[in-house]
Amino acid sequence: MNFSKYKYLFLSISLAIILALLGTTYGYFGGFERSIAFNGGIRFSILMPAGQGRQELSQAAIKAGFKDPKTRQTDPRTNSFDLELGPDLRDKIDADLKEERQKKQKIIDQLRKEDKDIPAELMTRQSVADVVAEQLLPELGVTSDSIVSRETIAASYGSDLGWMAVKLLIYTLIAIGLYLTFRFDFPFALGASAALIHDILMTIGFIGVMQIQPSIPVLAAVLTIIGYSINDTIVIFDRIRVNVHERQQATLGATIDLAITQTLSRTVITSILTLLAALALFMGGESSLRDFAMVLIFGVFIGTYSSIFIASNAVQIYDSIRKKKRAA
Amino acid sequence: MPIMKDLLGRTAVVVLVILASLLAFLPNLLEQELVIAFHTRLRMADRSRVAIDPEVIKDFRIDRENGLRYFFPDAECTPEAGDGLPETHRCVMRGRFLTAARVNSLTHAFPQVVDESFTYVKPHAIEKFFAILSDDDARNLKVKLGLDLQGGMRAVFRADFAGYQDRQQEKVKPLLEKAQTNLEAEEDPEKKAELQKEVDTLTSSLELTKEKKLELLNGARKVLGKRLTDQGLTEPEIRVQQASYTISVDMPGAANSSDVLNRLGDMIRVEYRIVNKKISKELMDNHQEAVVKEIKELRRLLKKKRMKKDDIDDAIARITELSGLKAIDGRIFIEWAASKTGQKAVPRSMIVLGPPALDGEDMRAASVINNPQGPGYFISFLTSARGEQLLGDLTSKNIDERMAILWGNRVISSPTIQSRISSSGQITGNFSLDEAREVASVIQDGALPVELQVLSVNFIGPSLGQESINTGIISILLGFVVVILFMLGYYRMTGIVAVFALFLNLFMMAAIMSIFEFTLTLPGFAGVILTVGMAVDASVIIFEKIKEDLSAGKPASVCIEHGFDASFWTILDANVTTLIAAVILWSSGDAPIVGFALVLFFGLLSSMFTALYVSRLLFDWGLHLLRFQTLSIGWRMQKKEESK
Repeated sequence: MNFSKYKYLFLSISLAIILALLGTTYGYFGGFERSIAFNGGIRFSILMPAGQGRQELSQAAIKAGFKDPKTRQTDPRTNSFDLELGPDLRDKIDADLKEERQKKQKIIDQLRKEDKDIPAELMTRQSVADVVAEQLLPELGVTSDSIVSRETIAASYGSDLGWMAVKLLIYTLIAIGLYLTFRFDFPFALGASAALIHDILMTIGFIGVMQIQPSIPVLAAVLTIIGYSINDTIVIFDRIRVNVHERQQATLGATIDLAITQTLSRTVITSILTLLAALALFMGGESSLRDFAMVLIFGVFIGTYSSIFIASNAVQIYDSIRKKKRAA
Repeated sequence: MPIMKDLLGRTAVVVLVILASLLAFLPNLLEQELVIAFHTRLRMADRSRVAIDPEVIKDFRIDRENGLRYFFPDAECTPEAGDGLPETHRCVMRGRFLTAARVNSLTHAFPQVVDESFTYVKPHAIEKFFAILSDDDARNLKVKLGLDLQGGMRAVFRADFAGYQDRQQEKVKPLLEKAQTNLEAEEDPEKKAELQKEVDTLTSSLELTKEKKLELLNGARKVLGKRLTDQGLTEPEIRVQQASYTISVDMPGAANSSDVLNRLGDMIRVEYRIVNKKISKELMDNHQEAVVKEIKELRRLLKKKRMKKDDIDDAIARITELSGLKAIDGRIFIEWAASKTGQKAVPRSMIVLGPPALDGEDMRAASVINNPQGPGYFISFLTSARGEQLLGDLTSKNIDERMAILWGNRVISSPTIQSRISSSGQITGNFSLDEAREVASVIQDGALPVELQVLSVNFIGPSLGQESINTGIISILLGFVVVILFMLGYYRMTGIVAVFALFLNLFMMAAIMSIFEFTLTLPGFAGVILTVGMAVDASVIIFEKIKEDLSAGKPASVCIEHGFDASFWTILDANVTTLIAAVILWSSGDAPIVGFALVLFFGLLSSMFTALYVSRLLFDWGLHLLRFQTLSIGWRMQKKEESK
């Protein structure tokens, strides 16, 4: 098969897809989905009536119009539960309250000017948690005494995690690049890095477009893809190395094509196996696993694609540039 | 026969690895002993103590509604004396799956009755055997279940902002006064503006704004995360609760929580303070009856095996008050020195110290050094630019004075200053290796910026419902089964080798996770299974190579040997590059990533072992022991043979 003929075409397609994914994420969705783990939210501690549990609490929260409530039991003897709600709700209510406060302030200023008495209801200030409690209590059928505590919570992982990830990625690329230069040759280090960056950008774009909530499992899925992608690329590179030794006359393009064809059965089998396992997780339907599986399924496709069409082609492109320079 | 001898040796290696893995994983399943201790006295609100009647404890032990049997319904707790407690206040129970979470739910439900500090799960004989891997006398070999599967504990910490301000005052006041006098004396307008700026920064560092508070809490959050990871408590969830200026820490399966919590919230830091020799001597020579009595009481408290920090602080406060010690003269600290046997540091005397002159923030590049003059270790450090100036000033002005080195509240040594030092220093004291490492790590990673006090501790249930856990686990296992069926269907008899390698790999991973006290969450479990599943990739590479050679018409034994040899470098290169990524992720030190990197790293090692070593051994068995001549390696091959 001829994999390296349309090398520039594949690179351009990939670049276009990455740009489209990231563009849609920011242009259409206004950025990545947010999560309690990375953006914080609101946390209530609620004493539930006897006989009622987390299911009733979740249902009440959904009925009150809150998306994705997270519940857990905190004390079985007093039947108390935690309810956590995401950052979007918190920020929306916060914005509403601010607007309301400004309106009130205007009325107050007006009244002050006219030297009139200010009614007490204008002076009261509501917090975000108060508003949520107000909407939640009727659905729950409990009084406000049952809410033991209300807290706005910050992210459990700071914004520094993102920067750290970028830093780690750069270190990883350098270290792997050194190893591949030592074991293979510099163009291969370049090709593997290109494939790795390609896969990561694609996956991040996918997470953005699918509006998957960033979480630790999703982060783990991205890290797994990195491992998978490197593995896949090296197996093909190794075959290229063997073939270069055995058939010195052949062009690099032909050698690469041969290596990809020879390893194709292995590539397909491993991809199918991983896909099957990930698919089972996805079908299981448990939400934290579903996000993990979804990212992984995409990653397996992308990882396979990039090791066939990006990594080897990058090697070839670099090689031809080097040859041209030498000729000139 | 040399071949048989070779086979036997390799078989022995594999059997040994299987046995070692079994040994490490076994404590998760075996029966263990839980020691439950009860308080002898109850501390009342007015600080008086009332003895607890043994009958109450007896009733508590058998109470199914509101006692021990509520948490451990089918186990009997037999009274047994030990740990300095009489038979009436201690009992031992046998049971399986005595997880830290279960023990904690008991101790936190009855803090008035159950004495947490002496309630523990006895290490299993196997765990004692693995003590070589640990600094303690046993290595905990348990896979912990994460917050999503089993829940854990939530501790809420309140930041001691008052204490922070006191400290800030103590530290900044002298600097501020000095800067202000300089400012008044200065004539040059340019320098004056500069000094004014310095005064302003110092003044603002005394203020505690909302932003500053949140900044301190966020700093504390980071240090907490690091400390938890250092103690093997992976996958904690730490959140700043902005409205109440508190930090909530959710920990999966933390054992002996009060101990962990104290260490977590402790703002232990390294400090240099100058000894107020005159006042120290006056204090020790104070013969007022009340003071002498209090000092005696303090001595008694310090000698107790189970020291209560609050009681000691109270006693020191009373002595300060009775002896009329003024704040300007300094504060009372306790000096610790080596005991007569030289083994352990014991509290020796009281000492009055001035304000902190230099602390961990002014030090960097700390390293542990073996004391050449005797037993123990000390820490050597370099100073930061600011520290260099501070230390230089301090030592040149106070020659022949004594400089106290503090670790937390303990004065660990107080050498006399002989000459000016500035760019580097040493923290002497009779440290053990562990303590010395701890001091060095606090200097490196930074101390908590503000002291944290435990506000509440309670048990939290799993964040996933039982139903989600069940469907989740079923889908994970289903994925695993699909991989196995595919391998068997596609590679036929040879597939059995791959499946055996797969199971051995999983087994080794379980052992490795036990040894590292890995916290298993549902996605983590999925990840492990998937990594193990991906490890069949190595088998696939080898089998495809063998198939390639077989179709060229070579005999099976040659194909197998060539298949493994040719695949060796492919598999090695592919795995080493991923190993490099794992090591770099590991070095990041951030809790969720470190856990992932750990599993990835050892998973790769064990999969290389199973694919290259174990499955080759199985093939050789087939060739030499069972004398197979042909290889059943899948439908494509058979078809080819038929068509021939």
